[in-house]
Amino acid sequence: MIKVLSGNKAAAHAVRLVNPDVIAMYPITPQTPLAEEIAAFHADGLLDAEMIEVEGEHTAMSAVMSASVAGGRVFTSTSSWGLEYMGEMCMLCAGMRIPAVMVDVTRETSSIRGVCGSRQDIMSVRDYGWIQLEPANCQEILDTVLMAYRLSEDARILNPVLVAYDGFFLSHQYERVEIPTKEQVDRFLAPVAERHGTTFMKDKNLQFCPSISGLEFANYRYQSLQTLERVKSVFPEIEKEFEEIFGRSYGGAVDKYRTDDAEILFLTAGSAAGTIETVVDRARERGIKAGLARIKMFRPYPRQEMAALLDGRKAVATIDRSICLGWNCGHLHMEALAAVSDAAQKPLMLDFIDGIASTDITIDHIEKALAITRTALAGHEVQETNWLIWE
Amino acid sequence: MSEMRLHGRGGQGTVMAAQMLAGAFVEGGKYASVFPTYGIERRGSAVLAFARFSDEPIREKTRVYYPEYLLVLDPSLLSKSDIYNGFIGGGTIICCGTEKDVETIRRFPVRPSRIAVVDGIRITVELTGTNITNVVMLGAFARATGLVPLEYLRTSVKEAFHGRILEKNLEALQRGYNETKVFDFEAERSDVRQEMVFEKEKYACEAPPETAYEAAWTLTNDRYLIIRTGEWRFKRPVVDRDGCKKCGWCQIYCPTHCIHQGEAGYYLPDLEYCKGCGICANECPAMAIQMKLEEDCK
Ligand code: SF4
Ligand code: SF4
Repeated sequence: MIKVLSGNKAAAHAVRLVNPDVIAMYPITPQTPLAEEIAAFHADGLLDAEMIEVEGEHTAMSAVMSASVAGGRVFTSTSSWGLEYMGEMCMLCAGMRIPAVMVDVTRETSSIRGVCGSRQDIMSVRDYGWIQLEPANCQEILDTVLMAYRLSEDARILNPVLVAYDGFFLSHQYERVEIPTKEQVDRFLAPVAERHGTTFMKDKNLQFCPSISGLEFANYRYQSLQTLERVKSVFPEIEKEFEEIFGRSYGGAVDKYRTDDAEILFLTAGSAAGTIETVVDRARERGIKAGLARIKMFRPYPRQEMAALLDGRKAVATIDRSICLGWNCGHLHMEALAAVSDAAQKPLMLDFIDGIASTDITIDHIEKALAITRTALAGHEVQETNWLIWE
Repeated sequence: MSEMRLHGRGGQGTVMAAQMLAGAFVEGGKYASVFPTYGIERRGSAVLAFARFSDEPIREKTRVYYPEYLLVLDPSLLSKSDIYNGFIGGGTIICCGTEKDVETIRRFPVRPSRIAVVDGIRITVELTGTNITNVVMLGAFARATGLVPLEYLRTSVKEAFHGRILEKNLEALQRGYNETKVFDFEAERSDVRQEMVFEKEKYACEAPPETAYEAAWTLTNDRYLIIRTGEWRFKRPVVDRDGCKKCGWCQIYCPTHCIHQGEAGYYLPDLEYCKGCGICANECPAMAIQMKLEEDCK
């Protein structure tokens, strides 16, 4: 069925099709209309889940963790400081490697109080141990939530997955979306249909909350690290199976657009990608070899792939929608700097901050970023970090 | 790909209009996307939404800065120059208004090849007693552009409404279509984005402007922002001086606190700030306040 859906509605349809056993959500700000959409499906009898309306996000995460440990399929969603309030439980969820899927509609966090769009809130999750996937359009949101369940509940992974998409620019963006059938989704999820309970211990379906220290503790940490590395090989398999059933293909951990011979590589994550593709096309028409790499899997970070992708380019221009405090740049740039140290030939690395606080990443802004990058390549001195916001 | 900007007032269903339109395009096998602005929209304040339609998938997730189409849901917005920003020469303006508004538009430096007007407020006041012109304007869009068949719009309207409201809206759609008047002008199409910004030499980005305050520790007494809520109004309270008992009840209830005792002891609203909510009219024990359409007060 083809419909016009917002990012939130697309995610809600995915949740309806997956039909979790338990959904726990805090219903009020900073929650987004996603919770409302899911509640409407439930009220209409289209979703047969146990719905728990909790008094806070901390409890929401506690509830879904417990339900998952008991063998249930779970879902929750949040945004902004709701995600931060959930923080403690999120760490526990990842530390215990509990399968769970959460949507975060990415927005600013409290500094000055504001619920405007940005990728800032999920930056604090970077080190929790969650898998983090970032779709870039409404169709991809629906598809990514479906794939998140396969990944989270895969016997080789058993780890929570966060699907994060841009507040307002995707959550409230209406687009043409193809909604798959229940049969297709059931077929896709069949390999994980029989999951009951999770375990760290071979051949035993046990789950417990480790409160330990020393080498035992370190062992769990080690396992988490290994698991996240395994995701890099399991995810492409899941994408392939997805394509076989739904007919839509995606580019793995890093989505690439005209990168093969690109001399100037844009780097971004989230909704700005489509707009940047338009600029890449315009630049190509004028003989400028531009391309775009969009990080779809933010955690685990596709370190090896990124190093290979950045190697030998003339310049990398990152469009960053969050700020890495204390580093004087955005997070994507900061991590690209780390990845590029594995490359033989290092490109000129420039960062452009834009789109934070719900500001718009426009075609004009991206073209200006390209202008500055080209000016730098022509031998002029420019700053490493540039704020496009006031252009 | 075509780009459109919709201008309306909070409560007029601007975003919903854009969604129904997108639904109609997709129903016809095309692609469409819609994106509203989000801020502190309130009933009556100016809101805008952006729409794109195309035969191909749409990639852009940014606002529309160079609209080929303008859809204006409220006649009071036509005299505001902001709404014409970036409008492409040779494009189409579809607006809620009357024939005399065509002249209002032509006073601005825009060069549309077509202006379509429909007296939407009159229609919705007749049908529903409101100023919610969104569905009327969809009918006008279909008539003015020929881009989307009325039957697909009907499908969209049926998905959005039920029961009696649905009937009213189907009638509004049809009347919007039938009663739209189209005016054509000589206008050459101006091309957007001929300028290749990335081919220029550019050394740095603009620095931020001086902010109202640096952190929370500066004195900001002289820098606060005043919102003229009078802009939001489409109906105005008119006091019947024969009926008014000068009790001051309306002053207590007015949420913007804009009613003050004035000449001869009457309580009168300050129209700079009266947002036309009608609470005073509702609360007046003497029923001495009537809400009148702005159009009729001019
Ligand atoms: S409430 Fe009515 S009667 Fe009383 S002062 Fe206001 S207008 Fe006059
Ligand atoms: S309509 Fe009446 S109550 Fe409402 S803002 Fe105007 S004066 Fe105040």
